[in-house]
Amino acid sequence: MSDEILMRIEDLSVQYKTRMGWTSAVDGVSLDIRRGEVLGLVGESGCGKSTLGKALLRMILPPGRITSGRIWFQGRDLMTLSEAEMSRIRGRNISMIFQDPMTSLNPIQRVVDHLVETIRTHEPNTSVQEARERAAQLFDRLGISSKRLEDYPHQLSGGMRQRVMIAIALSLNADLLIADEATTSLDVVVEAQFMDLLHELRREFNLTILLITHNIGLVAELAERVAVMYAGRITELGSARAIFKDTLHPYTQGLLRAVPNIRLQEDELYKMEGSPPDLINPPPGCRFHPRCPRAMPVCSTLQPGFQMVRPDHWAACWLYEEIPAELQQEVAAP
Amino acid sequence: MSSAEITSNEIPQWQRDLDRAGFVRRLLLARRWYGADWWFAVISGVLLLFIFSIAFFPGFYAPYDPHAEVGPSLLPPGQVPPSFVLVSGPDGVNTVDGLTREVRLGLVRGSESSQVLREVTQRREAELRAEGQQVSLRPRIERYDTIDEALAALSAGQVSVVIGLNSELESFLDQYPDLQIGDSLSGAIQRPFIFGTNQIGQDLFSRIIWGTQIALLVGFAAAVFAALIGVPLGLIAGFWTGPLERVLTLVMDSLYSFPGLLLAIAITSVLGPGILNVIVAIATLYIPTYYRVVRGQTLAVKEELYVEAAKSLGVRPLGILAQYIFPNVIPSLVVIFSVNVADAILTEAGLSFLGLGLPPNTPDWGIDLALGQNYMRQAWWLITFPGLMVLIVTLGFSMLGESLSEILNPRLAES
Amino acid sequence: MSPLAGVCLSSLGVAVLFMLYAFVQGSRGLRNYIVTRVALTLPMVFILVSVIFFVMRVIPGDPVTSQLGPRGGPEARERMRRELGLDRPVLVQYVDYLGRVVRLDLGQSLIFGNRPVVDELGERLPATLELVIPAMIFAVGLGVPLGTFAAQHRKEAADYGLRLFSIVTYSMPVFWLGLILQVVFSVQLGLFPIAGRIDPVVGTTLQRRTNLLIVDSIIQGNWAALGSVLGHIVLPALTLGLILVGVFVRISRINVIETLVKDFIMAARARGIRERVVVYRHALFNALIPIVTLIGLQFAVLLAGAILTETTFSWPGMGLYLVERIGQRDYTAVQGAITVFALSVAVISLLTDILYAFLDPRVRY
Repeated sequence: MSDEILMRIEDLSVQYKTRMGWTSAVDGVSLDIRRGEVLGLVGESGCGKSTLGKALLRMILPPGRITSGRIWFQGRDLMTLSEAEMSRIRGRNISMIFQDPMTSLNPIQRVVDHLVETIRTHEPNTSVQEARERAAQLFDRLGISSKRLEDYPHQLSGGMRQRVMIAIALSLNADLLIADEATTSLDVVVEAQFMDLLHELRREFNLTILLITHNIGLVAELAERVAVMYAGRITELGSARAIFKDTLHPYTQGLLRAVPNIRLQEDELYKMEGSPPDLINPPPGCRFHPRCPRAMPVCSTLQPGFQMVRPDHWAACWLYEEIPAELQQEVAAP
Repeated sequence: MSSAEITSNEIPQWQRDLDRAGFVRRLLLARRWYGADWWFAVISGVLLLFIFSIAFFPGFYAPYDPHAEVGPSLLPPGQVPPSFVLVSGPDGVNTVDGLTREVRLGLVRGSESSQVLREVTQRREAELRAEGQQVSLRPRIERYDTIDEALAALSAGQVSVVIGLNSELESFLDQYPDLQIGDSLSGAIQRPFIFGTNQIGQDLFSRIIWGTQIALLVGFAAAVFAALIGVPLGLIAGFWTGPLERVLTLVMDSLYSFPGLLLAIAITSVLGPGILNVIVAIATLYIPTYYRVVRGQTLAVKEELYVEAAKSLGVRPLGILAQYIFPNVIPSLVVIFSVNVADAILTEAGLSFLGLGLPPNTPDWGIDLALGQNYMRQAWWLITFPGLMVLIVTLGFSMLGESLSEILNPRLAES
Repeated sequence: MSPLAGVCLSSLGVAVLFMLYAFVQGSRGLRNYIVTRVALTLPMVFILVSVIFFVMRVIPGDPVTSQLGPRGGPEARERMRRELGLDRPVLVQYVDYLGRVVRLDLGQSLIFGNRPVVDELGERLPATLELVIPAMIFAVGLGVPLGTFAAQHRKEAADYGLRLFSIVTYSMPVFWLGLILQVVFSVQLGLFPIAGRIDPVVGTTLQRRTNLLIVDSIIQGNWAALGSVLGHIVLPALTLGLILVGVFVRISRINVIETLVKDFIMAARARGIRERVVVYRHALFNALIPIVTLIGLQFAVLLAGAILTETTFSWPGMGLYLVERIGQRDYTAVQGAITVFALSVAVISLLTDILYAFLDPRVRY
């Protein structure tokens, strides 16, 4: 992992229009992705992590909108690009793989054609023959038999389909790979194989990976840095080691406690109180405060800033931030 | 820790507001939720209420009896029926009462004057008979090609009286200063007919109004009959599957794939015209539809956990059907019923158009269209308005069915 | 062999060949499907034919009486009953009827000198085809693009307008639409002929070989006839087609909408594929395969509409034949015509179902 910043996300917000109002799915997220790293983005279902992933490729469709923010990538702000320019980046500089490979592949298109089409869309001068050869090589590298090139997606197994997805994502040597819940639909064994594969490919293809998942164990395995997301905001960001050993944010603490551990003696599984908030009318101040066991009066009034609490370890929590003077009295009162 | 009392398990404010709202407010709030479908449902609902009022109180809307020949033949809509008058010489016959057998009367060939004359004289004879006088008002008729000729003949004394159109005569009478206009012989009605008249002088508007009653009667009766047979069969078939049920389903599927109109034609060609026959024929068409849908839903609900729970508690099969399965079926039923009525009305119109439906004298839209086809060139209104009525009524039921379907079983999350 | 029998057998032959090809080429899934579907069709056809038979036998009146009227004496009646086989028990008649249907013997017309019903239908079938096929082409050719357009402009005025249009055209009586078109375009504007298949004068110059007038006039190079025939087809085909357009607009719209939100479409966009290609190549093909099945389903509606359209435009097809013969109480002909209608619906729906299964790679492989 180098220190070069591949992508800088500044104050990104995404909103969706629903029947009952606008939901704030992503609210003022700022994040850096460093070249060569694996950055894990974890959170509960509905916390906005998938939305964030899609927003990076500007794939938010109506009724959703990116309402603010900048995405700096290779010297340009992606938010300023036209749709045509953006589509040149998708699949070539930034690739995305999705949760369910069965539904992510076109059921009436042969597997090899997916790759050929992608290659020829971005490099129109490539002949079909060349493209097919490149596809065959990729398949080979990923451990898919070349006999399966002409197959349709439904003829392949789940694990194979996921590899096809990776092949497509890597076909043009992308710099950044966004993996959106890529292993959620795979069983544990296949998931392990998949993670191993990603590990290898990362070195070989010089990949930077944004690993979006709700599975903390996965992140512990592969990610070097971890960002924790709750209700549309980043609550904690740091190296994997720091997050696990020196957890700062109460939410992250709750998440880690909730992971079942076969060795523990406790009678019950830990469950965090409450449920994720309504994003149309989110709680004021810190969005986690209704469920937080260490909430203070200021938490329901003012949103905490995203502060660097330790070296390269950030958190958004009033426990680590100076409470403004006006609100200090409430803390003092019993 | 007062502020921390807000938990995320709390019901959002908007939901509590909604619960407190009354029915009307909820209806209006639903507008925001359902958008276009709400409009469709409401518009069709209002339209249908109006149509129902027509069907229940046709006498209120229809100015005339649909069978009565109240006007001249093929009168265009909005036109006042022509008024005829008697024209005679200075000492000639000038009144209706004077049109006895000895009188020679001239009229224009092919105009309605002969029909009007007949009407008026018959009416007068009836009146006089009621007073005890037996008078025969049957003048001898001379026919001329144009009013001009007739007036010339009158002037020359060949006839003693001429019938002419009031509007025509004005220009001609300058030439014949000694002729005078006598009694007017207007038809009984001097108001324009809203939709015109048909070949035998019936008011099309009244016929259409009364036709609503028949159409809705047939439509609803057919749909109800079909439901009464199809729904129980479907419930039973869904609940007790087996070889017998498979055969029944096969039969129903075969019937379902059969072109509807064709089956109705087959049945009515055999049974003959008549309102009950039409209802039976159309009802038979839709039994498979109810059967299929209800059976499908029964099969699905049967597998639900709460049904199993009920069974294990010892609830009798009939109870399960009535309490658990049937209520789940009702939303689809409402939708199908609505669409069914729409289709039944169309089929009935088609059957009547082909002459296979109702008896020929009924004021029915399909029959009117068939009759009107013969006069297509001269009388465009005879086919336009009955068909338009079919369209409007069918549209009302279809729109209602479709929008209810979207509201009760939303297929897409169209947020 | 009668021309109708010939047409039936050759088209059946083509259909069977296709099914065999699909069977051989396909996966186990496809083979199972074909076998099941065919196995399902046979009892259905059997049931239909039986239903028709029994419905027609429930005649309160008596075909003999209606034919002969008060004139025929008892012997004439007896003779006719024997001829028609009405003196035998119903079940015997039934079995005999089934046997004859399989041999494509639909009895003889009661009126026109005992002509075989199959022959008469055979003459009328091409006329119906020449009405029904253009109508379906029009309905699909207009409906699918409009539906796709509506799907891409969801919740805009065009979308609502098209939904309204669909439901209005579907709620119209087809014969009324025909009459209105006749009044406007024939009587008032004089653009198109009001009825019939071809101008009677021009018609004498055309030899009827296949009785598909378009084909006949092209083969014989009779361009005047071709022009007349095409002119006569416009209004009837338009009438019938407009009634069906609505369904195709609606279904295409829903299919495209549902396809456009599918994951693989998003994945395609994520690969950088241009929006236009995404919609037209990826989404549309997926969305439109079910339209094949829809065509099969709508065929029944099409035939029902054809009966009414032929009546309105005096189009000498099977539908008009049916209506005429009902009026003339020619029950054998009526029964035969209904049977042919039912059978063609069953066959077409079988073929479209198998075609759909064949086209969908998920079933075929």
